[in-house]
Amino acid sequence: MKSSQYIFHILIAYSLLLSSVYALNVDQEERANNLFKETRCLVCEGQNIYESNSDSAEDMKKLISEMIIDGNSDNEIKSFLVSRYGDWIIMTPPINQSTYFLWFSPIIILLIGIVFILRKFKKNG
Amino acid sequence: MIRKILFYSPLSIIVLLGILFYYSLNSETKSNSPLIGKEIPEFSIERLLNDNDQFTSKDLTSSENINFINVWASWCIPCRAEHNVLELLSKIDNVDLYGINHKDTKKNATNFINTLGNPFREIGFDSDGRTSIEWGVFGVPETFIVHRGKIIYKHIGPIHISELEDTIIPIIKDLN
Repeated sequence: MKSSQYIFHILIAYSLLLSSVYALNVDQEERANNLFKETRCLVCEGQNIYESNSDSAEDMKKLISEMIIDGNSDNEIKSFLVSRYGDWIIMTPPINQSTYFLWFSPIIILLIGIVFILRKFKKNG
Repeated sequence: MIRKILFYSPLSIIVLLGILFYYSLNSETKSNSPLIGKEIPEFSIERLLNDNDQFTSKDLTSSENINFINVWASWCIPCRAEHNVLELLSKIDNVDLYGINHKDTKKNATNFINTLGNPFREIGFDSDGRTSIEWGVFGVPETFIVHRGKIIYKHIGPIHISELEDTIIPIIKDLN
């Protein structure tokens, strides 16, 4: 066998091996990538696992891919991660009782500011 | 006077918000695991020192003793530092110490135990780190206290002797 043929066979075998690890179709891959972007890296907190090559991020990517293959929905996967690591693991804080203030305080402050400015204009006008 | 209060109120609101956000950011620390107070996660992994059967969550619910689950690895330097404290912990009455060996090789993990001693009743071999994710582990070492099948406490990082005396032993006394 020629050496180029040999290398070609090795490359085919390697790609088959990789695809058997993450056997995701196009849709599943897109879902996986979105979930990777929403999941915080355990050891590099400012980053999501999509951007991280750390060992723990790779483990988490593998887990998420396998959960997708097993037929879990995005919400089921996120719920699993939150049940193990808390809301912290999701890059965007969820809207719930403990985060109402975080989400809505900027709007309230903006409204207060508008009221202040309007009153000032009225006075000056 | 009222004008003065009105003038400074936006600044005071911003300062108050800053303080509030600062405390809110720090309130959800890693050791506030959502698993505390919950049943232990189900798992079944190989035993490190015994090939015959699996180390499972049932091993942790079968006794009335206080179970400690320490997640460790031979490549983890703080785990080496913690090992003496684990030896002390394992000698306390009514305490069973279990280990989950995290992303290691059997050879290195067994060498570690043979060199430093084995304080563990059983050790699970979590080569792919999957069981550690089930336990919400961020890194090694981490230690969980389990009583009657429920997770009572989680300690992140190596347990220092002072933490054993000031935090862990009082929890054991409380549970007894």
